[in-house]
Amino acid sequence: MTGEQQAATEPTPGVGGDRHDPSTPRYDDVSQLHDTWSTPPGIIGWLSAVNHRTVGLRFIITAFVFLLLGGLLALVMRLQLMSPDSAILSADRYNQFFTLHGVTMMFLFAVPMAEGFAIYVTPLLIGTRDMAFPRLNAFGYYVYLIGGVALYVSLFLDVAPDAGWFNYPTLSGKTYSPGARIDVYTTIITFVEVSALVAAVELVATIFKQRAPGMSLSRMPLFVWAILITSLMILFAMPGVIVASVMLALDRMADTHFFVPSGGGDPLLWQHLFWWFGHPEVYIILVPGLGFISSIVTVFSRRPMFGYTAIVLSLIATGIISFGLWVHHMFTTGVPELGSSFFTAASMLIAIPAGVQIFCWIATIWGGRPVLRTPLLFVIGFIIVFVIGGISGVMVASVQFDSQVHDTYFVVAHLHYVLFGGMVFPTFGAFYYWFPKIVGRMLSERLGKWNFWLLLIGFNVTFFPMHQLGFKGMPRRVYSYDDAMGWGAENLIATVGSWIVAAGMLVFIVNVIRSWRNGEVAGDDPWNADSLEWLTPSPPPQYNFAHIPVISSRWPLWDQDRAGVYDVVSGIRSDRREVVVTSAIEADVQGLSVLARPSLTPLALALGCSVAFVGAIWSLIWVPVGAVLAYLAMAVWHWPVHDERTPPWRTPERDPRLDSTEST
Amino acid sequence: MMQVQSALDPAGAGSASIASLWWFMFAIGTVVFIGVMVATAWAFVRHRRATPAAEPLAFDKRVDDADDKRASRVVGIAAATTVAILIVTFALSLGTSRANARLATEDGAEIEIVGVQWWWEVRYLDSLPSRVVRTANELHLPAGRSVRLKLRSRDVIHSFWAPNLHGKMDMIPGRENTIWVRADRPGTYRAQCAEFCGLQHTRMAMAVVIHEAPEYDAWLESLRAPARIQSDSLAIAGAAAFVRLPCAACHMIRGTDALGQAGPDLTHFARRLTIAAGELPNTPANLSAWLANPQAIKPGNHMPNVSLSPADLSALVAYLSGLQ
Repeated sequence: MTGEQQAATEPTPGVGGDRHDPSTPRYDDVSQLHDTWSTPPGIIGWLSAVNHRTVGLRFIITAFVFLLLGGLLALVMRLQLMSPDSAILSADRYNQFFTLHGVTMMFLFAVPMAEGFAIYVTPLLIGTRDMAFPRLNAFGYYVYLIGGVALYVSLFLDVAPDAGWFNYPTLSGKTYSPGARIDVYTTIITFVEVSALVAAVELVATIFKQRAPGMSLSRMPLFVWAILITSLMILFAMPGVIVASVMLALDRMADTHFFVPSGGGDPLLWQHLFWWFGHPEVYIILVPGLGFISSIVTVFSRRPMFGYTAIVLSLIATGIISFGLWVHHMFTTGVPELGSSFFTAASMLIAIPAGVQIFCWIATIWGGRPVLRTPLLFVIGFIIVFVIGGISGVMVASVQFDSQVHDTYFVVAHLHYVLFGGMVFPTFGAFYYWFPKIVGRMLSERLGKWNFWLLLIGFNVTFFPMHQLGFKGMPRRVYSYDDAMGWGAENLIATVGSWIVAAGMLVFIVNVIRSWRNGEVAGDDPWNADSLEWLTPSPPPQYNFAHIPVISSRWPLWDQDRAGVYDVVSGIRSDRREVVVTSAIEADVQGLSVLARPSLTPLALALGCSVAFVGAIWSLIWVPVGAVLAYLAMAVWHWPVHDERTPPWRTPERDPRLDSTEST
Repeated sequence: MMQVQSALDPAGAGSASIASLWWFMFAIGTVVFIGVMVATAWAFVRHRRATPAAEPLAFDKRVDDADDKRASRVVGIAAATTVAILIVTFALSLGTSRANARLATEDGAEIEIVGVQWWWEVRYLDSLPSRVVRTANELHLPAGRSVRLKLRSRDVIHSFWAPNLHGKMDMIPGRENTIWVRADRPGTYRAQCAEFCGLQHTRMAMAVVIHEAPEYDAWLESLRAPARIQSDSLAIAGAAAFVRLPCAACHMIRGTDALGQAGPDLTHFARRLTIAAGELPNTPANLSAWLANPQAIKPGNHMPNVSLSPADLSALVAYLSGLQ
C-alpha cells in the first residue's frame, strides 16, 4: 500500500455533496454518522449488535439479574440458619447453594458488572466512538450469558457444583465427587473466564490507543485508570484459574494426577493456582469500585480531585501488590513461617494504597462544596463499610490471628465488608450517577435515600454479628447448628438484616422501573460534571460524539468549557466506522482505524464454543462438534471485507489537530 | 457437658497469645475507625450547603490553595501514621508467631489425628509400637505439657480446630502438618472440622478433654488395655452380634474378632462423651437411635443402615455401653 494509491482512493475532505455516493467518501458529516454507526433493525440486528453501549448495558442488566439470583440463594441460606436445626434445605442443597452463591457473586455478578460499566462508560470517558474490537466485545457477552444460564440450569437439574467456589481437591476430585457437578464447575468457570479475558484485552487496547487527542495518561479520568489497572490484573490473574480448572478437568476426565496425592500429585498445587487468581480477583472486583468512588467524589464535591497522582500511584501499587498476597488464604495449610511472614507483610502493605485513596477522597470532600445527592451517600456508605473491612483485613493478615478466624464467620463478615463495601456500595453510587446518561432520565432522589439507608443498615445488621460468631467457633459452610452451640441470637439478627438488604434492593428495582418510564428528563449534563461522557446527549447517539473533542485538561468540561465551544478533530470519514488512533502515552494522533460492523458471527462463535464446553460435561464427543462450529463461525467472522484499495486504516493526510476547528 | 466454644476464652497457650493479639488489634482498629469517621464527618459538614434537587449543581473553580496545602500535610501525616500502625501490628503478629513456635519441646508427647469423612482417628504415639493406642472422635490432653499434634487426612482436606485451645491447622491428604499445643485449663472443650470436607462437614466435631497431667497419664495407660470382657448375658449376645453382623467389617474392638479399620475404633466406646463425631451425647437411647438409623441422624455418612432385629439392637446397645 503506497501513499500514491491511498491518495487515489481518498478524495479531499468535504467533497461528496448531500446525497451519499459510496465511491466518494464523506468527512465529518454528522447527518451520516447515525446510518454508519446504527445497528440493523429487527431480531437479527438485535442479535448482531456490537456497539459498546449496547453490549455494556447488556452486561450491566445481566449481571444485575445474577446479583438478584445470588442474593436469593443467600436469603434462603439465611433462612436456613435463622434458627438451630432447621430443615428448609438439606445438606446437599445447602452445599450447592453456598457454592453457587459464591460463584455467582464472584464470576457472574461482580466482575461482569464492573466490566459492563467499563464497556459502557470508558469509550465515552476517553472520547471515542466504540471499543477496539467490537465483535470480540459481543462474543464476550454471549459467552458470559450462556455460561451463567448453564450454571443456573444445572441447579434445576440437581447437578450444580457443591464443593465451594474454591473447589479444593481432593474433595473435588473424581473419587470424592463422582457425577457431573464438578465438571459443571470446571467447564463453566473456564468458559466464563474467557469472557473476562476478552473484555480485559479490549479495554486495555481501547484505553491505550483510542483516547481523544491530547488526553495524555496524566489527563486520563481516574475511573479509566482504575479500569486499565483492573484489566491488566485480569490478564495476569485469570489464566491461573483457567489452568487449574483444565488440570482438574483432566484429572477427572483423563485420569491424570495433578491433584491426586496417591498418584504423586498435590492438592496444594490447586490452592496456589486458584489463589494466584483468587486474591487478585478480590482487587479486580474492588478497583473498579474505587474508580466509581473517584468519579463520584470529584463531581459531588464540586472540585477537581485532591491528590490525582497519589490516587493513580495507589491504584498501580494495589494492582502490583495484589499478586503478592495469595498465600494469606493458605496460612493454615502449614506454609513455613518465614514464607508466611512475607505474605503477612504484603497483606498489610496493601492497606497503605487503600488508605491513601480514602484520605484523598476525604480531603477532596473537605476542600470542596459537597452536595449530598444519592451517589455521594453511597460514597459515605462505602467509607464506613470498607474501612471496617479493611481493618479486619489487616487483622487476618496476621498468621496467628488468621489461624483462629480462618474459615469462620469472622472471615464471612470480613469478606462481605470488603466486597459489599468496596464493590456493591460504589456500584449503586454508579447506578445513580450514570443512570441519567444511560437512560436519559434521573433516578428518584427520595427512593434513592431509602435505597441507601436500607442497604447500609441491613448490611451492618446482617454481617456485623458474624464477627462474633467467628469467635464463638462457627465455621463457614455449615448447613445447620445445634442450639447448644449458642449461635442462635447472632444468626437470628443476621437473618433479619438480610431481609432489610432485600427491601433495599426492592426499593432500587422500583426506582429503576419508575424512573425509566417517568423519571425527570436528565438533559446532557444533569450533574454539571467534569468528564467527557456528559458532553454528549443522554442517552448518547450511536456514534457517541458528533465530533471528537481535543483534550487539554484533566477535567475537560470544567476547564475547557467556553460556552460549549471545543476544539475538535476533523477529517474523520463519516461513511464508515472510523475512530481516531492515538499514541499510548501522550495521545498524539497516529491515524484512523475502521471498526468492524455488526455481525451474527460473535453469537455463532459463542454457540460453537458452548457446544464444546457445556457438551464436554456429558460427553467428549461434543468437543470436536463444537470446534467445527466455532471454526466455521471464525471463518465467516474473518472473511475479508476490505481490499487493498480500501484498507481498514488510514493515516491522515495531515495531522487532524492542525485542522482543529471551533465547533459548538 | 461441653462448654460453648470461644477463641477469646483461652484454655491453652496458643489461644491465649492470639486472644491478646486480638485485643490489641481491636483497640487500634477502633481508634483508626473512629478517626476516619470523624474526619469524614468533618469533611462533609465543613462547607455543607443544601442544594435543592431542582437547582443545577454549580461548579466552584476556585480551589483554595491554602486549603490544599493543609490537606496535603494532613494526608501525609495520616499515611505515615498508617505505616507506623502497620509496622507495630506486623511486629506483634510476628511476636505471636514466635511465642507459639516456642511451644515446641524436645520431649513432648505426640498425638496423631487423622481426618476422615466425617470423623477423626486419634492415635497416641509412643516410641514403643506396642504402646501406640488408636481411638477415635475424642482428644485427651495433659494440662501444662506441650504436645505435638501430627495432622493428616485419609481422604479430603479437613482442618483441626479447637478454638479454646489453639488456632486451626489443615489436614491435607499426602502431607503431614504439625502444631504444638499446650493446654492450660482442665475442662471439656470442643473441636471441629473447619475446612469444607463434603456433605456432612457440618457434623464433624469431637470433644477435647484436658486433664491434670497425672490423671492424663493414668487415663492413657488404661486406654491401652483391650476391651473389657463382659459377663452380662445381653452384652454377650451383643458381642456375638457385633461380629456376626456387618459392624466388625469396619470397626475394631481390640481383644475381639472385630478388626475393621474403615470406621472408628470402639474398644473403649462407653468412655466417650459423644457418638457420631460429636453429634449426640453418648447415652444408650441415642446409641440405639444411631444404630437403628444412622442415615437419619447424619444423612450421607459412611455408616450404612443395617436392618437390626429389636433383639440385636438392644444387645448391641448393651454391649457397646459396657465397653468401658
